[in-house]
Amino acid sequence: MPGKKRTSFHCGLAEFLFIIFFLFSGTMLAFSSKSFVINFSQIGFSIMTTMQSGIHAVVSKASDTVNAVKETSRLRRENEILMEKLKNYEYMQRSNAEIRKENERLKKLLDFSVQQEQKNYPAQIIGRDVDSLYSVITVNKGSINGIRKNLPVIAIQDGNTGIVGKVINVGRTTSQIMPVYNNHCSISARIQNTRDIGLVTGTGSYNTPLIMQYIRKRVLEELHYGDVVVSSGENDNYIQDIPIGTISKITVVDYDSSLNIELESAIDFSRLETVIIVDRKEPNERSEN
Amino acid sequence: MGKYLLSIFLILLGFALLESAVLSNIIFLPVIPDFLLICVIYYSFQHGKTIGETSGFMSGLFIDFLSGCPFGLNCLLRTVIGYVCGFFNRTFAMEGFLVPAALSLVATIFKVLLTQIISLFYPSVVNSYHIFSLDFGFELLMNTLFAPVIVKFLGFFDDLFPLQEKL
Repeated sequence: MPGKKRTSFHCGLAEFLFIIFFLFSGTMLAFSSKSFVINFSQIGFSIMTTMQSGIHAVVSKASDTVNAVKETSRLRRENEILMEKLKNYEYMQRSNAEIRKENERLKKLLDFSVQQEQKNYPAQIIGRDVDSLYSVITVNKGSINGIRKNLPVIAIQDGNTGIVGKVINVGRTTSQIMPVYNNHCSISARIQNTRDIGLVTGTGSYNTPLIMQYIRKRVLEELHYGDVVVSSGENDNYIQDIPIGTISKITVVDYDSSLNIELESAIDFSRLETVIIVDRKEPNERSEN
Repeated sequence: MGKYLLSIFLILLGFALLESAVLSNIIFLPVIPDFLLICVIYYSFQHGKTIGETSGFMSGLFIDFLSGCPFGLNCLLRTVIGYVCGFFNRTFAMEGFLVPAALSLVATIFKVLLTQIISLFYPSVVNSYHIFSLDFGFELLMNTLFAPVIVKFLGFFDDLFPLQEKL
């Protein structure tokens, strides 16, 4: 008899908890696209990403330490060989080349950062989305650095500037960026040569092309593969004339009055490490102009 | 019970941070294995509905905080998975390779079907996998292969911090 009572009590607790969790989750999901009095998502994001940032720093440090130890022992071996033979300079040359390369990359970043008229914040990527159905990038700059929601994010790769996306969530020390390849991301864009305006949207993965819509069929003759598509700056979210991608495929659909254009992103997201968050409303204090 | 839930909380937090701070940066991985889902099915099958749905809710909360998905989606999804799997408490022995792998495979498919059902109610914000997509195939494969290892790991923790109060 007592056993029976126990079973019914536990069954009730499970159902009770299930209803509570279900209602909470459902309500939060319903409110998630709108602003609510208390933004649980933002509070949680701040806490979790701060920890994420900490873990990333620890992992990076650990990895650096392991690499440093490995590197030291390798250098010692090489040094011995060098001491004995005094002729093998290959390793040093290689190291110099790598440092020079990194130096060049950072210099370009710094030059850009200084040249920009708007205030900008270089940030490092510390994580990507854990759910492959969604695509956000987490960076190590947050509200204490001056980052705000909806600020545009760009990057420089191989000397070329490209749009990365925009800030969608700001924690205290970290922020989430919605990249251009996110399928909820839409950017007002122009074809650089013809100045035709359209809308660029992502397809959910950095491996898949971006889609440009609303370009009329009559301009088909003027378009070429490799033509650059830039941000129009019309919706005031993104800086004007920053490359988004290049035309990689044009499809003409009979039933549609506009062309279906595929773009190859200007940024190689698989190699992206640092980004620049631009505040269009604030002047750049570091600017030389 | 409280201590056990705390241990679950810490384990889930650890896996969430591992996924977001380490695995998400390994760019050659097409998708990240869903360790938290494996944890949820382990707790559900081992300890029943209450622990299952609670761990599901907690893991969902962590993912919602770290991901770009609409807040509440993973809480809802994983609470339901934990609750449903909890019905089969002690039906399967979570040992060896085959049983955890098979249960993880079924749970991953169940997760996708459930996501598709939820996306019917929130079509503009909830994304769902195509059941025949490469990404889904990869996640299915990785969850299946990793399940026995994760289950072994969780079993070790269960031995260290046993659940005193049976639910």
